[in-house]
Amino acid sequence: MTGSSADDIVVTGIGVVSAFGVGRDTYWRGLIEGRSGIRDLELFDTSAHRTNLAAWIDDREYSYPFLSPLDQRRTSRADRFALLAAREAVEDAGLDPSALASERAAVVLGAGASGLFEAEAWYRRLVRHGTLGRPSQIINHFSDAVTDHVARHFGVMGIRSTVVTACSSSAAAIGQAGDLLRCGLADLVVTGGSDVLAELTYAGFNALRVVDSGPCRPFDRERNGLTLGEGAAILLLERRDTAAKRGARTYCRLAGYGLTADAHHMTAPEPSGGAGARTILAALENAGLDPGSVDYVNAHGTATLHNDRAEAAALTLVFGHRAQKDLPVSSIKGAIGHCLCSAGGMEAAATALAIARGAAPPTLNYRTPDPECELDVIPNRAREMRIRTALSTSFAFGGNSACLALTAA
Amino acid sequence: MPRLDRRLTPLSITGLGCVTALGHSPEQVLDALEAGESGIRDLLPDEVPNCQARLAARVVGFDSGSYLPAMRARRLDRASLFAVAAVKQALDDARFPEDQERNERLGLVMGTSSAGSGPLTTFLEAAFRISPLDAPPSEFPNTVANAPAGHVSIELGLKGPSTTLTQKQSVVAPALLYAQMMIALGRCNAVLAGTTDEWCAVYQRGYDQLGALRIEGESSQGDGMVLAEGAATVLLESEAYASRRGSRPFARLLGVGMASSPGATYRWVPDSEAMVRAILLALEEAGLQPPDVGSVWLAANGVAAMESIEASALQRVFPRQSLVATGLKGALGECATSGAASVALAALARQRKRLPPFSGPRSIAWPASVGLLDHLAPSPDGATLVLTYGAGGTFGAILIG
Repeated sequence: MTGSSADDIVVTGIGVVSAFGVGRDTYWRGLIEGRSGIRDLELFDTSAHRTNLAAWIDDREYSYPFLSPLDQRRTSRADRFALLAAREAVEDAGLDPSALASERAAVVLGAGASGLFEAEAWYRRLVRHGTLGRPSQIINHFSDAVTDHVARHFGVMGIRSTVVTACSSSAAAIGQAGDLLRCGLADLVVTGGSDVLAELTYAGFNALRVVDSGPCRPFDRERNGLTLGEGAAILLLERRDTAAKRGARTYCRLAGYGLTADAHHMTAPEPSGGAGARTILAALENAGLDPGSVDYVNAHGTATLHNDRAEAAALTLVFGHRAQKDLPVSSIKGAIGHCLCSAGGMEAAATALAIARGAAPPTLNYRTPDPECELDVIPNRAREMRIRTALSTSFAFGGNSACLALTAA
Repeated sequence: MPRLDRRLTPLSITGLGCVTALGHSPEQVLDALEAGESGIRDLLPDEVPNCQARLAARVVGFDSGSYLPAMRARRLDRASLFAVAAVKQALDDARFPEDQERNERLGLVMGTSSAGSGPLTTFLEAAFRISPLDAPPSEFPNTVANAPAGHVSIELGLKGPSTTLTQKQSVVAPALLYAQMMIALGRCNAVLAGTTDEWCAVYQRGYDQLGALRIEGESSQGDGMVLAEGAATVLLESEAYASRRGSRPFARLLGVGMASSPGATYRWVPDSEAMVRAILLALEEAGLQPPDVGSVWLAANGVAAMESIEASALQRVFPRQSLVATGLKGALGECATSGAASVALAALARQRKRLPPFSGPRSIAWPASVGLLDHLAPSPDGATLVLTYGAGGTFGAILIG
């Protein structure tokens, strides 16, 4: 990177909808207080599966006064969560929303299931009864519907892009959003991601036998798989010079990111950690940072046997013995579950808040260290600490890996 | 005119790949287009029952054995098979060296509008018809839209930056933009940018219910698109890198413009202003003026409202000139891959120095200034503009020269 002002990308607004409820501060309090959003899932029938747990969002009482009754019917849960989070991020940034109604504004989101939850009702009826459901059940099926809804809501007239790289989607989206700013193709980018639970993903991960019957335990020796979650996390990114011009407060700087392919296996991580290490090193190189400067890692930490072992190996390859004793690592999936295509955004938001607020969230349910994941895991209670440089890692099906490098503003 | 930094530089298009209903290589597809053939056909009764719209542009007779062993091919869904083929064609075409530098410094940006649809509906059908416990686990990894990129990386050993994008039919525009950024910011020396799509019976039912498809019997004047499948890829290299390794480019990617319109998210958004902005952005990035453009590959897909704004936008940007126009969606149907195929075939057509006839459909009366080709013709001088739009309000313009 050149290090010019054009490369200085900052996070000026954060909005979150999580299993803890609506709002960035609700999210942060839940994480830092060591609470768990994992509970019995009531969105659909889970009786055929080995678990009925998920970190799900009980939105039955949510209201969306900013949407017309028609738009409330014609949006999916994923769309509505994205809109709530995006509105909060824009307000948090102190930005007049009308500033986004511009050719110089862009929306780059990670998404996956999008309106699949609603579309499944349409398809179930077709499969079981041979009849078609309501058109409104399928109009948001495509992943990019979330991006389109956010862009439409703010009147954005610039670039739209939706990243669908499974569990690294929204981390990769944040990276791409930064590049749009670096290349001068936009002045404001709404980025992050939104993803929700659906029967497909719940059944799919259960079918692969990678779901823990209890709440997940990232990096713990007794871990037995992931717990699914859902959520939306939106960041507003700007170049530092334009943010400063309007007097915006900044959470942190997006110093760089790495994006790589494992070229190993569709669902299993490359076990030596070499592939994960390449992703982390690419992020550090892109950010112009030394491994020694990293104070904290917000890990992917899914709590599956293979992911956590491969991730620990990757961190050890990059940071050496320091990874085992002197580099605090946490996975927030024990609190909010694995939010799949929004996981990278949820974790980036947590990392940005950790930098800004001087504390690292804990890894819930971590009790027994695993000799094969020898890391400085922050167990169960948050750790107050000054964080100048942090990494947020994301590893995905298809071997699509991403790592964000965030630094103090 | 929007401000645009000059960080993005022209790239060499050095390799092409294409698998469509009209053929399984770029040469086959362009030959068929030049001969006026169409890949659109009537669906068989058992392909999708109880559906009014019975046209589709499906890939037939595709032999994946040329690209990967049968044992491995069985694990791949259709979109992934097409993607592996198109990417391999592009790399072979460019004689791109297979070494560690290739593996780690070659990017992959895959766009799609339907990858994963077949495995998704197969998995859910079993879950809904019998029980979630009977849903085939082997299908699940391929339900994610990045499965094709994952399979490409695994089959070809590509370890560089890799991503998958979706923005409905127009995704080729953000895919090419991101490829440009990857090279401009030094993440890669070269990037494979393309798309892949799978036709899916359930999607045909859904689009049919929404009234988005052309219905057989309404003649070529019918309003609506025809769903398609296939894959198309271009290999982009920085001009310095391409020159260093002595490659012979088909063409240069001069500029990509993308704009959007905040209209209905699930419908076509007929906003000629947004189309104009996309074209102007592409011209600005390319450092060209309207008279520098000689030909256009239209986005025309049978949706009359969109064709009208496309015609209007061209008249506004090119008020004092006649453009030679062609387009392939009357022969290849509509999906993300039709946009990427337009780019790949436009590059090949520039090398052949001739343009195939406009394949239709003619849903509107195009103005005379947009000179639709009704026969194979020599390419005019000047750059080639490729247009694309997606439902939900996205517009792209790609300039090659």
